[in-house]
Amino acid sequence: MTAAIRAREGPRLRAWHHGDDLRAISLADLFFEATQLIQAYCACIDGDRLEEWPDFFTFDGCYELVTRENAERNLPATAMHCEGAGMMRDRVISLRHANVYARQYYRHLVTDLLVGECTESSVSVESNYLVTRTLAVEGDAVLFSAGRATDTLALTDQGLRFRKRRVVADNDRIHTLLVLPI
Amino acid sequence: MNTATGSPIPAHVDPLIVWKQTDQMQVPYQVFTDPRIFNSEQERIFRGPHWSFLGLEAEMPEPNDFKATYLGDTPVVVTRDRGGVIHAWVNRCAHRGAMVCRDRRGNADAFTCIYHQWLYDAEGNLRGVPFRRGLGGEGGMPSSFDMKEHRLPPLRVATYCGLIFASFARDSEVESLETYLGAEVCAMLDRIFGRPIELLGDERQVMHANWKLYSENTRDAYHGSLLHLFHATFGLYRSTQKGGCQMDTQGRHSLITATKTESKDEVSTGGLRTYQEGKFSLEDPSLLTGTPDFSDGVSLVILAIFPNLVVHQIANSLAVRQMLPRAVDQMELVWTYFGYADDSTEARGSRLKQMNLVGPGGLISMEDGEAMELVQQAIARDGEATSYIAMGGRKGEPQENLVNEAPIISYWDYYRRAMKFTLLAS
Repeated sequence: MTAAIRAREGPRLRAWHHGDDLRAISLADLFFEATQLIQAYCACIDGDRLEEWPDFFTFDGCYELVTRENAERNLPATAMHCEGAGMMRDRVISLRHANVYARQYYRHLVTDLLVGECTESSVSVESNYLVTRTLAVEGDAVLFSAGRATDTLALTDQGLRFRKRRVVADNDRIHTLLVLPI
Repeated sequence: MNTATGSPIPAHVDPLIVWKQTDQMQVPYQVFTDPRIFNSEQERIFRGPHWSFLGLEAEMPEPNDFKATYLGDTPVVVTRDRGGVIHAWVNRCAHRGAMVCRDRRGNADAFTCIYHQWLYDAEGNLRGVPFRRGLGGEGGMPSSFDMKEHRLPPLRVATYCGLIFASFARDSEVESLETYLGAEVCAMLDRIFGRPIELLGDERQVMHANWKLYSENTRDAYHGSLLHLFHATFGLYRSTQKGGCQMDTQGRHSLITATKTESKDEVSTGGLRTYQEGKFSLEDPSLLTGTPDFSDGVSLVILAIFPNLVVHQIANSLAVRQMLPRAVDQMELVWTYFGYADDSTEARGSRLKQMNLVGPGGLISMEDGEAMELVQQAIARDGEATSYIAMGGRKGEPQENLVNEAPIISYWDYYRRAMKFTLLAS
């Protein structure tokens, strides 16, 4: 299986099952599978396959995008915030059918993945990201956001999925508008 | 042509702009593109007889709290002194012009310019000058140097309901804040800020467009259901819902309100390209099911206070939006969200969820920056060409509908007076 196909299908921990003890899995395997999940997630957004975006989360998964400015002040304001896959799907439907915005693409670069605390059912990972945004009508790939993501991943029958993804953007200024998740 | 002086500009024409008298409001696009007009606005509007919004008292609740921001494009600092009194001063050292305060916010009882360590108190008074008397009888400031004559330039400060405003104008040049805001604006501020608030955080949005395009946008009830299609798409909103627009006596502020209608209206949707009855519904309607904060049924408030503030209530979402004009073709919008200090867990949860509706990524607001930039890009060259603003008639008077441009018309009438632009009979 090529990496591209694997990414499109999402990660698969075929030998593992929901209910397995994540602590029994080697750090190298966890690192690999977490990396695959995040890379597939980014490829989904960069490839404009937004309809698949909620599938990277558990059904009650939470996504939030906040700025460092608010995070450091311990203030709860979010730039994007979805509790559960339903809210994510609502946002995607709104983006596809209601909102008006210039055609645009993200390109995610994810680095420095660190595997953190691991419990029986979830593992925390952190990673740095950099996202460029290209407006199709203008043509320049412009640095749009840089920051760090803290993810809590849970093991499901489909493999690892985000139970919570919290993205903290260093940049607190958003140019023009924010359409896509990071 | 005034041939006597050899000037190509007739004496009665404003040197900055030719603004012709027309039957309807027609604004020359030059006001959005000419750097000379942007500079003139800094003097006549932001340093003129107006009050600009600088922040909320809740952002700086403790003695010695401070916040750095801008009045127009001038960097300023708002401080709360040890006694709780709020001050504001220009963030520029009296010595050689360096920026004194380099943090967005914090707590400090003194401000030291890093360049030569001139020291100021919260009020902006100069308190220390290193080596002022020289060293060993040599160097130092002249004996005539008076610390009291060299302070950070102060602004006039006034607050209303916890909103901090400042003005460069002297007492005699600007009305009291309450008079400036007017009865309608004060009544709405009393309503929204009638109980202690709790800060939820900020969002910052850069728009590559002239700041007045945002002034228009927030006085424009007409675009609401046409540009922002979230509600219509999910069958949640009709432009036929009850609402209206009020202005202050000067026409510079605007208050747009709408009341939620419980029953689905039977009125034709007028061929809205977006109307898709029953096609889409929210999978998670909890986004919109907060308990109303007010008993008056008003579910939408867009209060635009000249020159740089918008206060909104959109369902349970509450925020102040501070406009920072950066350049003739760029502005920054700082959204500061808040709830009430006595919010229940549920109320707070609704407010946080509804942040999805507003701000640069808001499902019902994200298009505004885009629309403004489309204007800015399209008017790059033809400064003498004009817009045509006439929905609801020329007068710019209060309306009891949401399909008018009356607050925009009255805004431009006031703007032209404030800028002292003469109207040329055509």
